[in-house]
Amino acid sequence: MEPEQPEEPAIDIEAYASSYSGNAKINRLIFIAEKTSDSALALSALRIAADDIKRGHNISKYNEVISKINNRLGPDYHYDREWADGLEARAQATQYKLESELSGYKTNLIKESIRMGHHELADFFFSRGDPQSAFKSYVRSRDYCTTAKHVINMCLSVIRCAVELGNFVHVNTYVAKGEQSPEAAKDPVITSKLKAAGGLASLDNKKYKIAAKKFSEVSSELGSSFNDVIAAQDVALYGGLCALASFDRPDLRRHIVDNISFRELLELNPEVRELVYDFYGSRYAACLARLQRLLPLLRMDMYLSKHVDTLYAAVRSKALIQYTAPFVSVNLQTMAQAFGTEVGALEKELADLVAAGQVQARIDSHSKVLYARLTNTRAATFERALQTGEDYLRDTRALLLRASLMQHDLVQRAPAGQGMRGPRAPAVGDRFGDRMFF
Amino acid sequence: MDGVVNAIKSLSKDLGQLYAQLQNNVLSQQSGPSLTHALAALDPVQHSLGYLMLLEARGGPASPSHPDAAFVKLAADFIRDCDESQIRVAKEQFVSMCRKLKDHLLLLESPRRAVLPLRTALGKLAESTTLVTPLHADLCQVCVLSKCYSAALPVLDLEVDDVDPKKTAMTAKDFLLFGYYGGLVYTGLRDYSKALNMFLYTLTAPTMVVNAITMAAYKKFVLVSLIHAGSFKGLPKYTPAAVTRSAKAECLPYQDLEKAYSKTDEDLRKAVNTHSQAFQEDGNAGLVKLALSARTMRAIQKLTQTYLTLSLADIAAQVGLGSAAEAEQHILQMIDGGQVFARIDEAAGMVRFLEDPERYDTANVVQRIDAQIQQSIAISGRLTGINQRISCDKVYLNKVGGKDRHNRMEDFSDLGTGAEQMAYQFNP
Repeated sequence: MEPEQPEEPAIDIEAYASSYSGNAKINRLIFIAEKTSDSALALSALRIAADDIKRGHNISKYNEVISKINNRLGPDYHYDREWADGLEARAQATQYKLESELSGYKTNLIKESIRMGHHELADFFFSRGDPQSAFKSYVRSRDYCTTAKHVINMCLSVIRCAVELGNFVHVNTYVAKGEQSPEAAKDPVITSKLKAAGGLASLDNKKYKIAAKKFSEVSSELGSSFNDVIAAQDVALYGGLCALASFDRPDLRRHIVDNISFRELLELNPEVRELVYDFYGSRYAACLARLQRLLPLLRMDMYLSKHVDTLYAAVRSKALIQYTAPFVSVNLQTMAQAFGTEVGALEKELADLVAAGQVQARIDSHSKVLYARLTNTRAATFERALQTGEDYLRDTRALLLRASLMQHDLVQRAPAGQGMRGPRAPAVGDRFGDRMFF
Repeated sequence: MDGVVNAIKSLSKDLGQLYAQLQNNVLSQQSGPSLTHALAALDPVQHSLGYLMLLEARGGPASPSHPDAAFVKLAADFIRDCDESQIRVAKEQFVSMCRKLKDHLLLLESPRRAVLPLRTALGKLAESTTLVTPLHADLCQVCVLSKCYSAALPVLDLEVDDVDPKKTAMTAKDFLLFGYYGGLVYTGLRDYSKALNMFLYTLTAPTMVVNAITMAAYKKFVLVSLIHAGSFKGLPKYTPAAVTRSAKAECLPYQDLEKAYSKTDEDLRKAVNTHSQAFQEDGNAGLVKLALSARTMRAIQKLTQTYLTLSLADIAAQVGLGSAAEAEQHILQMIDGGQVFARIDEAAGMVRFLEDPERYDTANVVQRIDAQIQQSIAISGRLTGINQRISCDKVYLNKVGGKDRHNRMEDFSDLGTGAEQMAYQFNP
């Protein structure tokens, strides 16, 4: 067994941050800081974020990070009012300039310029950390797109904004829009970007199988080009984990293990690669131990942390199911060893799976053996046939009886002179006073 | 009075005229002794109709205040001996006479004595066994009251599918009572699926207003559903709207119970305690208790799906019973009732669950299937007949014109084909 997980996850925050760019980097660093609250890690994450922001114009994030640092990092990281005010003033000016340019283009009705104007304004909002306005401006530029390339560009920008806003419905819409464009099919990088974004949306929607499929279609050519949304090694991580949780063996082989392009992505994330191969090679103890080791890291991942527990449970039960599938009988002792747990806990887990109908087996709790259950289809068919016959006869008789009641007009009516819901059928009471006890 | 007796004697061949004459005569105003005297002068077999009319009058008002043992004797003997073709002329009086007999016996607190006469009377009243008669309800009632549930089975197990007031003097209320008491009989026999079916008769009977009987049947229906299936699936969609509506409004305790039944033990106990008063008043406390123990039983049955062997202590823990001994008691009962197939290893404290031993390879099974096919074909034949009759019916044809008619006829023929399809599937 692996040692217990360390309190402070061993994570090289500098290296981690360097694989992202733009807002994704800052957001991820802030997320880590929130997850780890007071530790040294949180502070170093915040420091990197603050340094990074200082190089850009993202004033709202700057405020957030500085208030999070809360004077814990010395005078260098106090609120820099001079810088912030200067930035604000410049930003006002730029915004004014861009807006007046745009209105100028609009009066001249030059399509391409209007598109450019919207796009530039949106880029400006985005860099300032106002994804909401950026989103609106990007969407506005849509009507002025003339070439397929423009459409793709617009889609990718909108997707970037929507991901940052956490609005995955829009992500899905614009991924679909992007995929329709012929340009997307030609360029593997664009396809990959769209797939990766679609995967993120499905992951957020808890549709792990679809997510796994989308991630597995991402080509390794993605490289670092989508770093402002998702890094290539993340694609490997999300895709690998979702695949383990939702694919059966043939699917796992076809989409992951035999998928050359995805294998290259897996090379970027050796931990996940080993994880997948361990699982595929039925080395469940190693696989589960590796998962356990990955856990603290995954908890700090802004997209995955919500789903980690569900995914882990799914991977675990999948492993249990796969382990039992080929056997007629399984010794629970051996199985517990293979999974590195206690027999009692394993029995409980298996009992739950059997009760949920995921494992066709029964447990011999006395001798701790699991026996596969062979369903007797013949008996089941007989039972069903007899039941169907009985149901048919009973229903038809009831139907005839009701039809007969209607035919002979044996319908209970309100006694004359009483309302619909008056004291019901007074004569009933006396004949009905008897009490039945069983 | 002598004139009446003479008329009966002379007109025994012309029943229609005699019936008309006797109906005009206000017999009920005659005094008891004179009626008894007149009855003694008549032969119950030869003059069944006249005897019946006098006897009915002799029985007194519809709900007697004191029991009359002499009447009971006369009536029981008459029912045994009477001529069925004669009594069918005066069905209303016959039914009323039987009810008076029942009422007197209920006053005498010996409902058991009414079982046999009523069963005989029922046989004599109905021309065909598929007819529901008013006496069905009364027979079931006395069987329930005297707790000899199985005495009603010879009648209840004959499948009924027709009511005809002209032949049996049936009323809507009689039918509701038939479903209710029939359901109680089957509940008493622990044949829950048949009981549910009977209650459904009452619940789905066409109605304009809601009857107290229907509401009582609804309460029983909910409880028996819980016992039998572990859940209440709601009423079928062809239930009259009035019934569905009032059931919602008036049977709240039962709905609470039904909702709590699928939740935790804690919730269930709370629901039972809150409404115990209502259950008690409806006379349903016993059924509620049965529903609770059925839940334990179902939990144990679920374990058999998961485990081959399990220790008694584990069963007790998983099902929520106090001790291993208690679990053993439950399992013993269930093995006895055929609800679970298991062997208990006393020494090790282990239970070994077995598979259902039914292999469906006996002549018995073939017979069952064959009987079902025959019944299905028969009922399908009746449906075809009804379908033809309806499609030739002038009123019906006038009502549905053109395209609509076409659709409806297709609907009806759908009903008819089920049995044939089934027969086809079963035939090797």
